[in-house]
Amino acid sequence: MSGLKDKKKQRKEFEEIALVHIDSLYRTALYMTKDEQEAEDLTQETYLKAYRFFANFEPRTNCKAWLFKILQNNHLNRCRNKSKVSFLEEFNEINPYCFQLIQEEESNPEKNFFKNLSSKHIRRAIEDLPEEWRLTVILADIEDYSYKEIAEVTKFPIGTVMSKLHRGRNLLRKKLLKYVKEEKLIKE
Amino acid sequence: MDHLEATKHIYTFLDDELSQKKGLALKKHIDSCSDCQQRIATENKLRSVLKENLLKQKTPFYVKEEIKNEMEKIDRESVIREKYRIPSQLRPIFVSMLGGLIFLGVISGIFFYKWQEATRESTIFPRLAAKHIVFASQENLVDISSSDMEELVTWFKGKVDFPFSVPFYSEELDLLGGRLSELHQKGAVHLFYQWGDCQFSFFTFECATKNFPGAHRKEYNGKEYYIAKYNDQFIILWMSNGLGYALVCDDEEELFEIASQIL
Repeated sequence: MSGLKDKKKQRKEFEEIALVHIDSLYRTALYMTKDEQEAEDLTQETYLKAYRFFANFEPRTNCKAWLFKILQNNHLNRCRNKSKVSFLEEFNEINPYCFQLIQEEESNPEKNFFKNLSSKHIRRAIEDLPEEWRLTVILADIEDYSYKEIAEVTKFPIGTVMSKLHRGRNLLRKKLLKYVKEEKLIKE
Repeated sequence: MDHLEATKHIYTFLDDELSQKKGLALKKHIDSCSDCQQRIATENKLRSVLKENLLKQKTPFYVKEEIKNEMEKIDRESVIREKYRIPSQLRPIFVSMLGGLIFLGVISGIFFYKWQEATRESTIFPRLAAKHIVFASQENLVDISSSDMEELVTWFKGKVDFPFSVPFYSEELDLLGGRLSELHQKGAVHLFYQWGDCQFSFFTFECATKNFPGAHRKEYNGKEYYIAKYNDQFIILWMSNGLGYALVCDDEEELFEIASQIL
């Protein structure tokens, strides 16, 4: 059946262009949902939606950014159905230069921040970021997205992206410091 | 660029998103500032540790397999849909046919409704016939036994909701009396006559409709009337001033003779 042959060809093309980004999407889904099962569902939902609308994808554009946009939309739809993520006031009162604290911590050989920093701390800190900041941090620091690309995915203006990224990064660092210190205290 | 200003732009500088002018100014400051150099080194190290750790997270193998299976399923379903899809050049014809069918359906529906309306029988004629049969077959059924027109009118006064008068009187007819009857849950006047061996019923009742399905509509002397036959009883019904009048008898000829005198 020629129809099925064409579909097979299209599927192969989709796998080569889109499915290669599955780890990035799953990772982001995991940090966004904080739940492995939900992340799997969100990833699958994103890919199937993308596949259904693959004909609308312009070949010379950024496929990964297109997939992230679908992921973000799906995630927002899911969030709307659940309770909205709360945005606490404390996040607006972050010391903007907190990486100086890390520097101080690191410069002290007894404390040795990086030695004590584990995957568990990083994942916990990422997941504890407010929703909108989390996505910008993931896209910038893990996926190496430019501000323009992040703006396209999140639909925020570049200025807002910069602000969210700056605050998100500071909060992430603050949390990393806190978790490392907490663990050290427990060990001691 | 001073030190405080420089520290504000370190993230943007490392993201390679600073304007060329600002970037150069910052770089110039960094080259001569050991504190900023240290900050950048720490930030770079942190970024690399973060990335290294977070990139470790891989998609479980079955997720990819499930997506592939679902994609294949979508394709199979879409091929089936396309197979049974009407070709675009035939679509206008299909739409016209569908429209035609809907139009035919609506027209048929209207005709069916009209036909049903036309063939639906009025409930008034069987009731009139039944009331006459009861009168003709039983004795002592009259509420008031009198042949005096005035007395009858007085007796019915207040018992029915309309001004009642005996519409016809002939010496050849024997007025036997009257009975308070009920038609369509309203009071009606039922008068009994005898003409030779033939018994007649004459009804006066409130009637709003002029629609009497199942009856034949006729005109006589510019008046319209309706004829029907139920249970071997012949009925002639006419309307005047919001009231219905009906004559009922089992003899068609005699009924028409009397009716011709009234109508």
